[in-house]
Amino acid sequence: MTRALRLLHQTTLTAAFLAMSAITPLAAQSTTVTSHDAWVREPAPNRKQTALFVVIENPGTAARSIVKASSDAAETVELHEMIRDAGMMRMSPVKAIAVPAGGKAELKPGGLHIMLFGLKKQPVDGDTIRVQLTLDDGATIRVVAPVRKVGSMP
Amino acid sequence: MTRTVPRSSRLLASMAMVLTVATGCGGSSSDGPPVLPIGGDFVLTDHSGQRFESTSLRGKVVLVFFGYSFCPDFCPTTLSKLAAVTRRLGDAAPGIKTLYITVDPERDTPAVLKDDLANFKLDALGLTGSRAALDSVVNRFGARYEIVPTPESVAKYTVSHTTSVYVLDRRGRVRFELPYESSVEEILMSVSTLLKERP
Repeated sequence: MTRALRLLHQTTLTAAFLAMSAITPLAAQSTTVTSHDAWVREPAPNRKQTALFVVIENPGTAARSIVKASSDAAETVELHEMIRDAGMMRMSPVKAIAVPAGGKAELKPGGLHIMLFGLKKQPVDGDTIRVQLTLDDGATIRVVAPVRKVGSMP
Repeated sequence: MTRTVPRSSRLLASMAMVLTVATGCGGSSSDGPPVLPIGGDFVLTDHSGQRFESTSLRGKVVLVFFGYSFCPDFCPTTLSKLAAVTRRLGDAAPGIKTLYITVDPERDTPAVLKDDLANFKLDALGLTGSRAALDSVVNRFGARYEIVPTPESVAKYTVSHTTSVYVLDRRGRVRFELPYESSVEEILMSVSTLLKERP
């Protein structure tokens, strides 16, 4: 049931995306949003999930947002946020991550991040993980993130 | 599904702490940091599946924090800070012990906690137990957590939790409650202060 719904959802999205790109192919191609300083935290042994951090820059004049993420390295990729609220640390999925016009979105420890669930291979320091981010205008950003072991702070 | 440790106990603890500070009757005989009216001894299960009694750590300065392994951020960040503290202590490092107490016993079996600690160079125990036993410890430290269902995520649920690091003296009494933002230097200073006290 869930699977069927998800499939339907994906199909609808794809259809919407195709329709959109058919109408405004230039808009999708002209996106100048870029990424840098991507990295993935090496998960603990046998842990099947980890987080990816990256800085997304939008030098353009239109506000954009990241609405989806996917990767061959994980079964599911989600947009998440960590919030400090009344002394509590809360982790919750978010629908989109805003990248303001002429600004940036900083995905970093303690804040916004990309969660990789169901890792297919245990990532270790030195590996690279490729993630594709989809923007609200249908454009995609390819992110190549080195895996880093963060064992101790200086 | 949502489970919250009663706020009243935390409030009482805070009030008692204010009174303690105001009257100067913290239980500490010297000018050192006051004894906070939280904490107390407990029995849980360590990451090797063995029974753990907090009284076994008398004579050591103990760092306690609550977390859960599914969160890939807070726990590694705190553990990496404490590993740095350990490194900076050098020869004095054997005088401290870290206790990482889970608030997610369904997912955090002893084996999971053991893996969680594997990447960090510090003398630490991951602790779990029954929900009731963990709630009792959480309560007594004035900590809080809340299980938040997230049906839209494959995580199914996340656990919101307080992020203080409690520093216990050699007699098992809580002397510092350090916020998450504390730097390695600040933690080091608290630990060093307590290491200088006589056991």
